Amino acid sequence: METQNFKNFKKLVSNVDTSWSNELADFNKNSSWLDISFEIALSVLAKLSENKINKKGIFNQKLLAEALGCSAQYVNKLLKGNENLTLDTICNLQNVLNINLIEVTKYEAVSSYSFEEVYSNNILSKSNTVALTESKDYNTLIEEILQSADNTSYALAA
Amino acid sequence: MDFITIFEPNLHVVKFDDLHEFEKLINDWNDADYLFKYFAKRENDLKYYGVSVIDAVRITRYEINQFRNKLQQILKSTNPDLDQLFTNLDNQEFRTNVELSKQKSKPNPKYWLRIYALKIETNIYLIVGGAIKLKKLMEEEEATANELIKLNKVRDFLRSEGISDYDGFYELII
Repeated sequence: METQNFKNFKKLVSNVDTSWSNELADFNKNSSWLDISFEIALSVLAKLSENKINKKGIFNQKLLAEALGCSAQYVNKLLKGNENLTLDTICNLQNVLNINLIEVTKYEAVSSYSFEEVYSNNILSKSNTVALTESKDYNTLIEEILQSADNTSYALAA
Repeated sequence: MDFITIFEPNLHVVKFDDLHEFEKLINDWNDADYLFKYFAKRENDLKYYGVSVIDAVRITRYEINQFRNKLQQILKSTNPDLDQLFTNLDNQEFRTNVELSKQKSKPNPKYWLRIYALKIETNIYLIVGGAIKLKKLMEEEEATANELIKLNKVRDFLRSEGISDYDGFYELII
């Protein structure tokens, strides 16, 4: 049974918003590419920050938009890490920032063809950024980070 | 000041301007750019944790994913127990007159995301805001100090409308 206090409170409530439950469902449905998009945004942000410190190359969102030939608004959106990026956009980012953002794992098929001849070493070169592949999902990655961090000091301030 | 129900009948949220506080938190905590800038400004604080800015963002992402799982559990239940979810904010977290030795000896949780709320009735909560809490005391940093101001402001408003709340502030540690 509702108390008078709660009844009084409910009189102040103007609306009901359950959109967050839709957001939850959407996230679950799209979590694989959302995690990759987020990690790409993070790598780009880190690179911009590094360039700013080193005073070289593209060091802010405005310059990045110019280099990509897109609007500053799009770059801003992209850096939130919630965009379903095209391969074209990812490759452009890699080129203008000179970083590797994704890694394609070579499928080891039993075949008479030499795939080494088909793919260049450049494509298959090991990424110096964190690569999200099916064999290393987001949770595994974070667990590795947490293990490597100083757990004692991490617990201190939280 | 407006109030919105986000989970009937138990969970409500304050709306100060265009977006309600829960929407703001979800937007900010899902935004790589926002999180990167937040932690870059607090690089010195991160030294206590032994993590870089980029890894701090990843840890936050991981916490949010756990938070989503918790919320999903709530959604599944017809009569969710929010009293299990929200805990009374320890006085030491927002009172500065505590001896330093006591602060350091207190065991700490491992996570830094917080959602702050007022308890209206048993199992009825009003979310007032949230923050990424990197320091021991809420008043020690701007982000959490602002949350304290908001909590007091909303409590005062409710009392002026004749609505009482349970003693102390409440938090959800993700």
